[in-house]
Amino acid sequence: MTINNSYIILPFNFERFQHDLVLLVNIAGEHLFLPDADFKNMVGHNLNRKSDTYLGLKAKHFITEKISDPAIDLLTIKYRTKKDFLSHFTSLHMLEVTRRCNQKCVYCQASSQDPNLAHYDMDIETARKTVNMILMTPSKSIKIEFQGGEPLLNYEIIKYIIEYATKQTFLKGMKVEFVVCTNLTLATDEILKYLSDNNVLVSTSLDGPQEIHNSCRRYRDGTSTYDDVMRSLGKIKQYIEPSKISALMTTTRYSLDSPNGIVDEYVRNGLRSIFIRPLNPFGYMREVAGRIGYTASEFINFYKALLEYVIKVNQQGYFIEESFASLLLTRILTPFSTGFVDLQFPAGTGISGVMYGYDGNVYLSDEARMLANMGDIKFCIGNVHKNSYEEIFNNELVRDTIRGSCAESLPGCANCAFQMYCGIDPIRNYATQNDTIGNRPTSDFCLINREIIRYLFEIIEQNDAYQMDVFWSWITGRSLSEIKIRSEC
Amino acid sequence: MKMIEELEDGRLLLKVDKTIYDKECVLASVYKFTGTCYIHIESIDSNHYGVYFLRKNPDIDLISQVDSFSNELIDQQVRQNLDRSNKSIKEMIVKKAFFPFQGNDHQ
Repeated sequence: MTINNSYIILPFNFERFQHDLVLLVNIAGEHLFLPDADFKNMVGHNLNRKSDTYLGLKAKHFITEKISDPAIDLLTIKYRTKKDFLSHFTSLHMLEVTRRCNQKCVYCQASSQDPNLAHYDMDIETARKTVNMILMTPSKSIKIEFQGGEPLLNYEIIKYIIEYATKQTFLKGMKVEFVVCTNLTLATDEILKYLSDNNVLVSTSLDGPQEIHNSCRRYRDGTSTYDDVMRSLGKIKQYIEPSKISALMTTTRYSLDSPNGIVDEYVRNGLRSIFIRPLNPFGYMREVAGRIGYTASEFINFYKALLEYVIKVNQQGYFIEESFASLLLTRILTPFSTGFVDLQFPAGTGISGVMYGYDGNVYLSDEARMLANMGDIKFCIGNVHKNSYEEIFNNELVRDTIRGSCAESLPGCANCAFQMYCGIDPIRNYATQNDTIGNRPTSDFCLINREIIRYLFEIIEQNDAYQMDVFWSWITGRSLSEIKIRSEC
Repeated sequence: MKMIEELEDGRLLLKVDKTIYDKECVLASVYKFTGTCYIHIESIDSNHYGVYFLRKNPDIDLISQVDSFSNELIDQQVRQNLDRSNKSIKEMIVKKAFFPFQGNDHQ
């Protein structure tokens, strides 16, 4: 046997799986499963240079034969590609156009206010100054997301911002995309036509069938919102194509027994994506956690069951992606960069996404605004009426938060095999653990992300063609039949 | 010499050989178990760290925790050894990957 112990081991992290398998993930996020015996040979420099294991590790940039090898340059380019989202400073601009809402969701994280309290609306001067601030961003491609409260309660300001920002970004050679996050109950034909004419993406909320949806998402007077949401979802398709409509499903204790029913509800409404999220520890949620909350393990089991059913629905011929899994799979299976402000490192706070309040206050993130709505303004970084772009985005709080969110140097993250797919949320750490660095062993955020990524890897390791075809159809946005034809060619 | 001792106050003591495991390796391993156990570390003699485990709640099987910890020590030491051997390569990759951005900053 030819033993080659002269190879160089390139940086990687590892995690043990069942059946004596070890998952290796390199600095660029490429992965490989090895039997434990091969792993021991690898780290002991005892690999046979003619073995498939050796060649596989070399091809995937886990080992190299000399330091000047072009493979290291290639690995550098791959790493740079993965981190490309850092060059888009700052691409996501979220605007709280009003804090008023016609609903009072039990778990509302934004601490919404009564619809009669008009002073919670963004006024035209604040809107103009906010857009002017957004235009200072170095990123050539930006997204403006209208949030609330219920943003359609301040529809006139949304129209003003769309028109003003469209004109100004055109003049500056920037690309702009708009998203409105709405409960859809106020969506008239006129509004939907306007959103369609201006290519506005729609992000809404649907928690499941009537009983589940109404359990937490009701009007302020306590009446059902479900019928109005159904009416709007029926109407919206006349104006906006399904790929431009996404929906969030907030998991509560009422959801846990009905993963299939929730997916069926999405399919019945012609939706093509479902984003499963756990409850956020902000706003009114803190008061009702005991009633509608659950353990991290209960959420993980629910998520796995739901994902399994979504895969089955796709295999039966209906395209619907689970957006969180789709994001993670893109990170795991492709070389592409996927910035996602809630799950990236360094954290997206300020550098990838930023939140503007109705009163012109600027926050490091949506979560920072939620915290401020609860009375803690620690992560407010300025105000569009009072501060310059440089004062807001170059201040010490932004720098400190980013410095403290580099996973490579954080305990519990530095050696985690899932580091390249995961992320840091310093504001959530602060809200739940009183510390922006956070403590991974006691963090539900860490446990949930780790277990979901691990579950996806278990499926990937099985390499079942039917399941993998579904994953690739999500990653590429193509139909399952098209994926199957391509994989057979 | 017994490597694991059951103490009268309900704690378990694991003796970790300093000649095999680095302090960084012991600390990284301990960190992972702070969610389930209260852990105290001290140098008990010139060759051993003493790692004391106390379970955070009665449902936790302390023996199983210490067994898992023992395996974790091995993995963490492998990580330490690998980090030491390829630290300069990692730094070079990161530096090269962001080089143009650093260049612009200096202009």
